[in-house]
Amino acid sequence: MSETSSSRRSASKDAVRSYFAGKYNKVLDSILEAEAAISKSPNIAENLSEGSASGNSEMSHSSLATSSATSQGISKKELLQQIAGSLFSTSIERLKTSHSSDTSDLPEYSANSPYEEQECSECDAHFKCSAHFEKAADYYEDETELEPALEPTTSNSEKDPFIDVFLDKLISRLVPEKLPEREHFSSNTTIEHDLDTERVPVFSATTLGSNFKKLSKKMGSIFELQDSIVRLLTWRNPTGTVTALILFTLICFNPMYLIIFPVFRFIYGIVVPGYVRKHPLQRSIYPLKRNHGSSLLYDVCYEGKNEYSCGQQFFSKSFMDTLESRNQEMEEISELDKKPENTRELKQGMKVLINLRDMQDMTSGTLHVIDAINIFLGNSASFQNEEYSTKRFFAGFLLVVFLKILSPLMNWSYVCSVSAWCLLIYMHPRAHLKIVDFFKRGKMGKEYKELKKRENQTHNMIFDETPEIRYIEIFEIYRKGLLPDEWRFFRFSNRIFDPQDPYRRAQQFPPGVDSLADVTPPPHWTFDPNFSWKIDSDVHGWVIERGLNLPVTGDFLFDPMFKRRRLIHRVIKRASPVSQ
Amino acid sequence: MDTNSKFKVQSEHKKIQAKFIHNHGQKPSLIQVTSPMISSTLFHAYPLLLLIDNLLANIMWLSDDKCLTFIYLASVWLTINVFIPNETEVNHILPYAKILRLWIGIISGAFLFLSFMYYIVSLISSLEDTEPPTLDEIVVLLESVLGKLEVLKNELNVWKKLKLSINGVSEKCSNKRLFCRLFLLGTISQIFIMRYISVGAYVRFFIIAGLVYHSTSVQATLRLLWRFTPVRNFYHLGFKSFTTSNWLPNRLNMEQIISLSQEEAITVPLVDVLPRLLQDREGEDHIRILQLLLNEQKDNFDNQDLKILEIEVQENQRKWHRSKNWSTQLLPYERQNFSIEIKDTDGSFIMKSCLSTKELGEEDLPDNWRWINDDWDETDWVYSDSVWKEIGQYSSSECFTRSRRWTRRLFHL
Repeated sequence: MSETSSSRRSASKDAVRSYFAGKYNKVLDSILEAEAAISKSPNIAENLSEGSASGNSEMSHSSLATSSATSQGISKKELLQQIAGSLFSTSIERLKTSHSSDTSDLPEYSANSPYEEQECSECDAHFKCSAHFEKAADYYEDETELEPALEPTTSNSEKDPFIDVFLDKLISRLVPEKLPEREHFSSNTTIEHDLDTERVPVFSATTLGSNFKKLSKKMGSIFELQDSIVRLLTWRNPTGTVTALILFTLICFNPMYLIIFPVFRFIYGIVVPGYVRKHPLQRSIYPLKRNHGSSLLYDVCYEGKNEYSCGQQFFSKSFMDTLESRNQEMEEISELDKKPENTRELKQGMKVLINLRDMQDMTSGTLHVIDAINIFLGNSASFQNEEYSTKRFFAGFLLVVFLKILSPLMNWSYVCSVSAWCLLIYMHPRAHLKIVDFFKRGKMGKEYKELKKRENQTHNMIFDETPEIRYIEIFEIYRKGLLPDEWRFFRFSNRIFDPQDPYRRAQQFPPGVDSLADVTPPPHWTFDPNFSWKIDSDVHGWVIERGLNLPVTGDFLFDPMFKRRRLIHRVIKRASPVSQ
Repeated sequence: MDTNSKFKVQSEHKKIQAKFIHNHGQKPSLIQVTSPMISSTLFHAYPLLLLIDNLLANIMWLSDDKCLTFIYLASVWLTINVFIPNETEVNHILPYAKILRLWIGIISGAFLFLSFMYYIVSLISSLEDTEPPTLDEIVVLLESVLGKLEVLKNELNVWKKLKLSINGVSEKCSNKRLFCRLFLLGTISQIFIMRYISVGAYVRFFIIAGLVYHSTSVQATLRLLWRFTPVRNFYHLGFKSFTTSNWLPNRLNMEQIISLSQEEAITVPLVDVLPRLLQDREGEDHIRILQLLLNEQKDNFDNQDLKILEIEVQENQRKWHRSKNWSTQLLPYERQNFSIEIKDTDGSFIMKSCLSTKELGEEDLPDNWRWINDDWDETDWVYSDSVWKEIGQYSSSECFTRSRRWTRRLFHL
């Protein structure tokens, strides 16, 4: 018994450890990426280092050390990984003993700090060499070997282990101290508010981590609630579901129950049991060993599997507790195999793990829901599929009109309660199949009708909006030859290439092609096939529009070096996806 | 020898925990001591016992799944609604609300009936499938049924509660008072209720109340409500007869006490008693006083009767909370801090509130009454439970009231 429990315990601990290791590694990766990104743009890195150098000395040491390391030819990333890797390994080592007292770790960390202060003789006063860091890593590894019974990271800021301080400082260096409020992202207004530093919390990895740790312990009740709701909805507790439906119906008919039920629940779920525990009702009733017979409701819901009716637990536990003799026996038994530390630890560990798993499920579930909503919105709103979106619009429009007309005639009590009953009966695992079958059978005959209907529906809608039409221009540029009247074709360009043109001033060729076939319309537009390139004869028009003061002869606009004329083409907007 | 002494020392220091007496559970096998006739009868009654046990468990809300019992309750309610229409329900919401209610009522009635039949069928089939019960099992079941019935009886015993007297002199109240209570509870209050509540609602209320009455929650609710003194006052006001003289704070003084308790005085001709009284007890004070008095009134010495009266005043106190001290404050309907037992007109004894012994002692006595004793004699406290049922000489957490007697004699010439 004890062997299996200890092995299980160690297994759970391994899992916890691996979880935290993963967590730290992720944090590390993100930090490294951010660091790499910053190092690419040297200005930012300089600014940042300047800004934070005043705040903390040891961090500027490390950052300078990393920058100097690159100059020495050692990869910055590698170095950081080395340092941080050793630090993380120590922090993970600390998780080995997870449930001992908190007080022991304070002096050890204070012992670390003088090491921080002291400077390596080999390297500069401002930064530490790589050897120094390796030493540091050794130092911490040694320390963990000497003191294997160290604490996991605690949330208390006074007892912050070195690793947490390190992480915090690292992140605070990478992230601007004053994070903007969320509203600055969402609103388009450019009004600058003064960032109130007291109100705006600074990002801190320690706080985040400790919050997560606390949350994972305390989310249990929320997940239990969630689980019980799921159990109710999936008919795993049929009587509970029916009871919930009855209560819901009552609420529908009299919303005052919304206040009454919670109070009732508080009184009879918490207060009265507490009273009964303290002052037992002296009812000398005791349970039977086995029960016969079963309830109709259970058997209907369980398909005669008789999960409950076999009667191991026909009598309630609360009732059993009132039996003093029972209690006494239980106490004796519990005293006999009292290994509270083991079981409690195991329970705690498992609880945290289960909570973490539920949290993970919850987050991934939320992501799925958001994705699904986005896909639905994208499909129905984007007019990628014209027919589909139009139908959605039409259905929505009809629904709005219909509901508006119907609204005064509604009796909400009946509608809500009846729909809730129908929905839950529909959701019942056994009834669901039968209902689906029933409706399918009804549909069989309708299939032909459906087909006919669909045929009709194809002619219900007509998509004949005239597409958007615009004109595009291209300039055919000629270069002056050696002879006075010699003009040689230069290229087709989308620029006029007049003397003011930046390309010309920079003595570069304008972007262009040699043949009209290489000219493409703007994205999402196509050339009108019924239209060919046309020389724009109204030269004055486009010259004046552009405010050019150059001589015009025929279709051409001249300057000392080049002449050009404008070619225009008609383009039609393609029915293309709306870029989001 | 050495180990023996060591063991002795150990056993002296070690304490042992006593165990509870188990009234039920494991018993020696009953097969040998039970006659085959009884065994076979019990065996045949087994399904019926199971049925009754389950029924009682449902009535007492003991089943593990409270939701199931609640569903049954809701079905009962809906079924009743068919037979007893709800007059107050607004019917203009839906014209077919009546039909809907009828339909739901029939459905829930059918559900109840089918559940019951199904239970019986499944009970029989499961009995057939499993091995037959042992005699022990049957007896345990029988005990369980009896235990439940006992609890029901205790919780339901209105008659006992009605007969319970509050003044604490005797456990039962007089027949007259019982009749008064019954009359009050049975007719007058009913008329009041009927005036404001419809018959349908009244019947529904009683059926549902009866179905939830034995649940732990309701029992606990009753007990919790019973903690509030207004509730107790209301209850006792309603149950008591209209003679509320005890309620009024008119406390009897010495004159009233003497006039009310004069019947109990011992009257003897002074001529006969006096020589005997004076024989031996020369030194005692009251004798001396008597002598003095006699010296004053030598003339009509022969015709005088000596009346001796012993007054017994009860001092009562109540503990309002386990952890608090004894208080002189008592419930308004019970005996008061200082009270005296007096014969009522119908011959029964009742408790009347009176002044405290100190005040009584300081009062001027009516004509020709003199104290014999210089001071009140007091007895030890006697502790009793909340309804003045005596428990014993010592206070325990069981005791909520206590009383002691102050006695003092007086005489009249």
